Amino acid sequence: MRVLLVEDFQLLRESLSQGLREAGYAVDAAADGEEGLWYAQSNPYDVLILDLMLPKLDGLSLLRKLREKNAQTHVLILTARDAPDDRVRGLDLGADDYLVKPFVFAELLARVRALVRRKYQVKAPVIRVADLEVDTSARLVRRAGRNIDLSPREYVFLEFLAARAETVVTRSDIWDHLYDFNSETDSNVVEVFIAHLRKKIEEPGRPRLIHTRRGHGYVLGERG
Amino acid sequence: MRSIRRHLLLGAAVAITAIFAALAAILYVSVRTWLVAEFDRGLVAQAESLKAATEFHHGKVRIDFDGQQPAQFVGGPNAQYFELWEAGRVVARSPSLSSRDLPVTAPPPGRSEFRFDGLPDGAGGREIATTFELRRDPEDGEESATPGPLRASLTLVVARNTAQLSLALMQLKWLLVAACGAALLIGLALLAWIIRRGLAPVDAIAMRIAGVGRASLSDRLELSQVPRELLPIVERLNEMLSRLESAFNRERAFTADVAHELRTPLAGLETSLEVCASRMRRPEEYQKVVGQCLGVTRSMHVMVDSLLVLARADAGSLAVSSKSFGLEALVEESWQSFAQRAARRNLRFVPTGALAGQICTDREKLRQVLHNLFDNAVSYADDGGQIELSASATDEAISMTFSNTGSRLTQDEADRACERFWRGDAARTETGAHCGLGLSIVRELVALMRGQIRVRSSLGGQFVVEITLPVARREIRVPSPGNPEFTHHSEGAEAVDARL
Repeated sequence: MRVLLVEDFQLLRESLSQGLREAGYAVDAAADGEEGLWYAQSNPYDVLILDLMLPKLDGLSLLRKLREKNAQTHVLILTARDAPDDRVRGLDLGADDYLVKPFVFAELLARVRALVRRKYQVKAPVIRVADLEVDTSARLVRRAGRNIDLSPREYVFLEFLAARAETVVTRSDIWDHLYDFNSETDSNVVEVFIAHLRKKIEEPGRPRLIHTRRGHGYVLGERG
Repeated sequence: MRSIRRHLLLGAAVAITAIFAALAAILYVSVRTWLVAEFDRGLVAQAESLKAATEFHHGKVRIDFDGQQPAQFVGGPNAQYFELWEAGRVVARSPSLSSRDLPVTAPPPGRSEFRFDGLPDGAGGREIATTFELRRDPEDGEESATPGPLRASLTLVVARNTAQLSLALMQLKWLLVAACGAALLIGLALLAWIIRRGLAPVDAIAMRIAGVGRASLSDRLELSQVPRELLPIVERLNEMLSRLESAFNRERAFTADVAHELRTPLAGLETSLEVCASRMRRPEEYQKVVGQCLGVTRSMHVMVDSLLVLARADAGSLAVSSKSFGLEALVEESWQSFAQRAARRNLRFVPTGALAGQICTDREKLRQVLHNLFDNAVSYADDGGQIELSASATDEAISMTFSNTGSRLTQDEADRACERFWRGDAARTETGAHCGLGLSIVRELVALMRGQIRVRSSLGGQFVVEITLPVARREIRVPSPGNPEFTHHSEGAEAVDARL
């Protein structure tokens, strides 16, 4: 899941990026509104975390421009302004959620998770594919009732495939949603990661779950 | 409490009563005068007829009624009285007097006098006393040969009961009192009604005023429904509401800004520490986070201090002291804390003009002004740029012009630069240490010292802050930095000031 963070306060921008990356998200961070708008328009982000008081282009204008271009990114407004008027204006302009500073980071993560679920139209926090269970709230993966230990990055990768279970996920989808601008551009990275993930969730003797569609991409599901 | 209604009613009642009483009194006196005059004409006619009937008879004075005493002089309820005196002796009197006397004072000869007096029977009456001379008339058939005086000085008193007159006057009096009383009561009732109707708009406005500001301060009283007399009050009230509203809005915006400016770094601190504590890290990572958090804490510290200064300035609790000190030393001292930062960015500081000498103003506040302006200049001048401070002085004021190259603000932005929490884009993206209060504090402090401030800027050109302060300046000397005499001299001036 790829997140764009637009925040002008450096400490907050850096620590949020770090926290989100450590939670497995691909994160791009922008320090002002214009930069943020550029990022938001050049990539299909899953979630945009947006401060309102920004240099050059304020958050609400950014949001308006983004929605005019019909962008489907889910937007979480993160601001120190807590007047009801501000919230109403933000939500009316097409924001999906509103969080007032200061906040608890765990709450921010939970809201980001909820926005991701909405984005992939998954209401239930647990996605089931065959005997594989992906618990998106606890971020736990079980196969046949047995817990599988995944790193946050691996988990997000799997969750992305699970949210699109039984459909083909192209390599460019994976690039767009699971890697940020700072990632290595070696195209081999995806294959290596898939192989790694397979090793963890697929055991000998059990049916394969991650299938490769040569020339297209990958499918997570019972049938290949 | 003072009530306009009661006041008007009371005043009008007193005025109406006084007018009615005066009118009634005038009416009464006129009618009485007229009635008495009429009464007196009757008395005079009576006296004239008696005088005409008075004659000498055989040398003696008598009143000749041709044998028949007129009925009114005999007695009865409307009896009239007369008495004729000659030299202290009664010559004739009416039978109605039945040998009693009328009170008499003889007027000078040829004159008549009227007066009210008691009649012998105790009833009230009015009499005319007239003194006249009776001559013996040869045509009267009275021979002049008859012995006795040829003339006699006589006093005739004619009196009449005034019961009817008194009754008429009494009736008139009561009629007037009753009429005036009734008119007064009706008038007051009418007046009370008129006043209530007249003051109804006041009540209506009071009601509307009571409703204003309950929901929001943006309510205004509709002027079209206000009577002209109340218009100034309502207009002032509307103006006051406008001022209140804008003050409230300013206050609200300021509070929101304060909340924003405190919450953002707090959120940064909290998230930073939370993320850092979420797992075990290498020592250098901890070190980095602690360093970052410390930096933010320090800038929050500066901001809280700035907010306190502003709050005190707003509350009027910042006292301005006045002390004589050397401006040049203060400038040097203030610049010292920025010299290192300036050197890192290759900035040059060029002080020019009349910096030397003693000025007399609030040193601490001027120090803070210099500090904030240097801070701004060092932060926002272009790398390798120049910061200038030029001063010029008159006897009453000192003007200081701070300028730095590489301004990042247009004139429009510069006009707003002294507003609280206003920051240019550069201040937000690059430093993070600036909360947008520095210049607003400068403006407040300069205003406290009764000075003036002007900010000019052109994008990419000079950013200029001009400050003019009224000061008592002792010496104006050509700047001579490093001149040992200078230090010596300023100490001398200080001593002189202390004596003063």
